[in-house]
Amino acid sequence: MTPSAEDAAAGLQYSRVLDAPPELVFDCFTQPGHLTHFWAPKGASAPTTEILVDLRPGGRFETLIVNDATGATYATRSVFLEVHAPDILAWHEEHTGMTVRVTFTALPGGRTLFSLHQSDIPDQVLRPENRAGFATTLDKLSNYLHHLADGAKQ
Amino acid sequence: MESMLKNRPPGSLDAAFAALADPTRRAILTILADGDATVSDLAAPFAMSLPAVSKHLKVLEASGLISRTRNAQFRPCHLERAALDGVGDWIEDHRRVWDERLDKLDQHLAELQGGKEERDDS
Repeated sequence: MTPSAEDAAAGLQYSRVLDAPPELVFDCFTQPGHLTHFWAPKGASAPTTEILVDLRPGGRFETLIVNDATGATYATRSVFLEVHAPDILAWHEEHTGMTVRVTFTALPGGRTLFSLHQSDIPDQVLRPENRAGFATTLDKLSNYLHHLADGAKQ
Repeated sequence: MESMLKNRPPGSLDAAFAALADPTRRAILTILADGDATVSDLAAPFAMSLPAVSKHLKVLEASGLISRTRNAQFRPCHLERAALDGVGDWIEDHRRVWDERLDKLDQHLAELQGGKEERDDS
């Protein structure tokens, strides 16, 4: 494997086919009125009024995630690095230190290949004291190595 | 983008991901999951030269995923399970977040494109 291919594979790869054209998917990721519908994970919300999108390299990308059950909030604070509508969006997350780069590739039938690459992953997750109560199984190892293998082929 | 991926410090999670990006190195880890092994033990199943395997082991060692005894003659390799667990936990957590996020996005896109025929392949 060449060094450049290894660099491309460093970090988490995630992809998914979405049933909408890249233009619409890009809008969903860059407009508060859309982001509020999907940005928060299950059991949480991302209120539109708390979403800030200054869509340009160096612009702010901020959201507030509210736990529906407890009301606990989690602020995400990012800066856009790349903005190329409707194909590429990248931001640096100040709250995690990670860099996220998303590409939207047009597929036949008005679909979009959503690909995410997350890098600059914080090292503290490697420290055993941060993973109390977790038991290793080889099945689990095998599963996530598969995920990595899928990502590395891109 | 490329410049951001440089300068991965030894033992960093980025270094671990880079190490895991190679199929031979993943296979080496799978073998080491059964127990410590020497370079020649590891070279045998791959039809690779010892220097080639050594190169892979250096990458794995720098990533913190394996360790090697310094003073023993054959320097057996040892899988660092805690490091692998860290990678696995992180991947699972983040995959779940993005899975949930994109599940919601799927639904939102379907609502936006109300006229478009529903697909049944999810």
